[in-house]
Amino acid sequence: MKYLVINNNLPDLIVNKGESDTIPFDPQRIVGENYDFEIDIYQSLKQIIGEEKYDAFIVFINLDKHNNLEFDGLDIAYTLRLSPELRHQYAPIIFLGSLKLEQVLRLNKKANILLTKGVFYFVLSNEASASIDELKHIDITPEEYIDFIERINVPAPGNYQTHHSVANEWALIRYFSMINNDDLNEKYKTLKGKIEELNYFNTLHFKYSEANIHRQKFALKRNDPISIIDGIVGKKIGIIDDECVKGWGAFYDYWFSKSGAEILLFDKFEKGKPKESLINDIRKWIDNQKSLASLCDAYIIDLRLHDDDFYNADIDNLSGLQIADYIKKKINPGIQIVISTASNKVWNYQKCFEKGITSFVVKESPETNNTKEETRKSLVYFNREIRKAFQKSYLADIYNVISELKSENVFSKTVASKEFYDLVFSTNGLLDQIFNLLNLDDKRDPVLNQCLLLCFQILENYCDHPLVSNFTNNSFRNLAGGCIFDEKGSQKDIFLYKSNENTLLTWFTLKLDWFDFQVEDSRKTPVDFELFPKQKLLMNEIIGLDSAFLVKMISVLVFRNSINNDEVRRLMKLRYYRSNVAAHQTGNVDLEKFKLSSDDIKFLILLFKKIFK
Amino acid sequence: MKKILLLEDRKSRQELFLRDNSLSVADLPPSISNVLGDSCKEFLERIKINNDLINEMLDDYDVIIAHRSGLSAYGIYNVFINYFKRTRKKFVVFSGGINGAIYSNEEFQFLLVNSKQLYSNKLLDFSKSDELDINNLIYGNKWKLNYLIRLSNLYSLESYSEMQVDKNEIKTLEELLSCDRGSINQLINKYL
Repeated sequence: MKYLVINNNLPDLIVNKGESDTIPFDPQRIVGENYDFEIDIYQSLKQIIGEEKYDAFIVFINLDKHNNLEFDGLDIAYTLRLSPELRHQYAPIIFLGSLKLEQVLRLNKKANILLTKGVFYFVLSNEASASIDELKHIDITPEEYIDFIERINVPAPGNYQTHHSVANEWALIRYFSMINNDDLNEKYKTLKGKIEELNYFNTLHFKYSEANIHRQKFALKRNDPISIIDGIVGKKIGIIDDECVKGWGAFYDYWFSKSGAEILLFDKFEKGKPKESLINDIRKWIDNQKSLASLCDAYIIDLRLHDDDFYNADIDNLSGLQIADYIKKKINPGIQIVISTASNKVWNYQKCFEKGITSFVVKESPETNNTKEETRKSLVYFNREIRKAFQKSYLADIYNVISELKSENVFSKTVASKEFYDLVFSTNGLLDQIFNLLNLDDKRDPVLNQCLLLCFQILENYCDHPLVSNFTNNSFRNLAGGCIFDEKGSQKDIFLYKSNENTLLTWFTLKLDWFDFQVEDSRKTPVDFELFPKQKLLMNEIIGLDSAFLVKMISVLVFRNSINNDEVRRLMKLRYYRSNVAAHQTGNVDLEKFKLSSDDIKFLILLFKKIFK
Repeated sequence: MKKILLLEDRKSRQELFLRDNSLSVADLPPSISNVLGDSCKEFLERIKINNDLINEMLDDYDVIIAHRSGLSAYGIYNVFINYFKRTRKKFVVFSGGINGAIYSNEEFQFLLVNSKQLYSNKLLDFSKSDELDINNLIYGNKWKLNYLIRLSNLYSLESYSEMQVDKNEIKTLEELLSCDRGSINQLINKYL
């Protein structure tokens, strides 16, 4: 039998057990700046055991004479059981002490391990040596190991809720374990190195949490690797996370570069710097991007960027939210923000939502006891939220377009246009309403339908504006006609309809047909138009009430604003959808064949830029 | 009464941990000089600029309690350690990143304790008493038990002829605890 006896302060009778190694345990390093007892125990054992294989361990339960109530010898057993790399996970461990077993059990919760298989406790006496000799030194079985895991509990370090939060390191290690080996990639190698440096990796809490998860025996689905984030090639993302230095920076760098995106990292987190200074530094960093016209498409921001955040109950004062607020209120509310946090508190999520942040990623915590499959889902969710944020990043451009239009447009200097100006360009006017709706949710049909209605409300009011056009219908004289005014006020006659003659003198005509998304039994509708090189005399066709707007719209957009024909055709299509789906559910549209998207609303906003600028 | 210096660079942390233990900053007795937040940062900054100032700044105190990362942030952790090695005063360091507590008295009395453990009634009791043993900060009224276990261990080891047990330590502990071989088990059981 080969024993490893830990602590040189034991009698020869016990130490000299045939083949055995004895090691002193020296706790005098504790005054060191970064001393951590658990890590010290682990590293000492690693060094001592080396390549040796021992049949059993003998440990005095009080390693350090000053800290007797800590029963620090027990930490040896936890470390051996929970560290597979030490290769003695199942080995018998024999404890010696002067107290009775029931006394130890009542004095320290860690002593639960003494009740598990393969762990023995003897009161130091002449009989103890014989008792050790009588033991059958057989490793515990895997089933007994599971029983051990179920019986013990290893609490998280005391700072669990603080800045050093273990959840951050836990999540990083777990996410990394989901990524396929990519050793040829330099960024992957950097990430791997960073993870190996993490102290938490060596803590009992991490090892216990890992063992707990393995116990659940959920295997990762084969052939179902985590894919990179698609659709973000060429995008730029800003990362503001104080955990970056501990490996998250390397994770983001690898993961986003693998997905074809570029990251911009704020990494000036200096220990001891006041919170206000940190916030100012981050604001300057963002302002600098703005001045260089190189703002990111989206930002990932950790909710708590400063130690003070962990001791402050006011959610509004969390540094991450203050930065998010700054971006949304002072830079551009269309810039997309993903709040990343180890906190799973629902009120944090609600607050983010109130502030216009729609993406919220919770870094996995050991306390959630996630299976590997759940970790995989968590990373997939992370990818989805990032993709979602980038898909909405066009809103920053939309916001800029709207801001420009609000500050300067063709109606802003005309007193006669005050009503139209207030309706469209004022604060909370129609353009603001459209932006706010999209920012809230640019995926749901009711929201998009509402945006479409507002866009056409703008267009209708514009086409009817007296400075833009004049369309008359004089039934008494059997005449209907339309003209537009260019920006200098010059009039251009577009059409003249004489009902008593049923003739139409016009620059264009509507073409009736069916849109490909119309249901079979619906009526023909204007789907296109034909321009004439000069005014042409036509026999009119009845095209329904809605055509009246189409005629105005085409007249104004083509002949006043020189909008190209394809764009006008797209507008005709959207107009049909607006009238038959968004405004009235006529049933004329097969919704399987046409889905309104945020691209359509974006198209309309950019159209407004052309006609109002 | 002993004088205690408490160096806490984060006001909100102190408030939070005290609150967790149903206490507030106002509960800290006058024997604790609570150098908090910006005052603490200025205090540490002065020592950082001139290491020698540590003598006059700490000399009035019997026990110094400081946040480990706070000292590290100013790069003066070892300046403090050297001061305590020189003066053999009592030094309590608290940190959020550790589990449990560890004590040493090799060169000076040193206690490494978790932040939450520190900000408890035991700190108040310790500061109000004349007791100088910093173990009281973690064990409170169980401080005797810590020594009783040590004494029990010494009694057990003493029975082995080759063990060189320090008889003086046994004698000191017996006097401190008013205990002998016959009564030790009974005394330990009193605490269970």
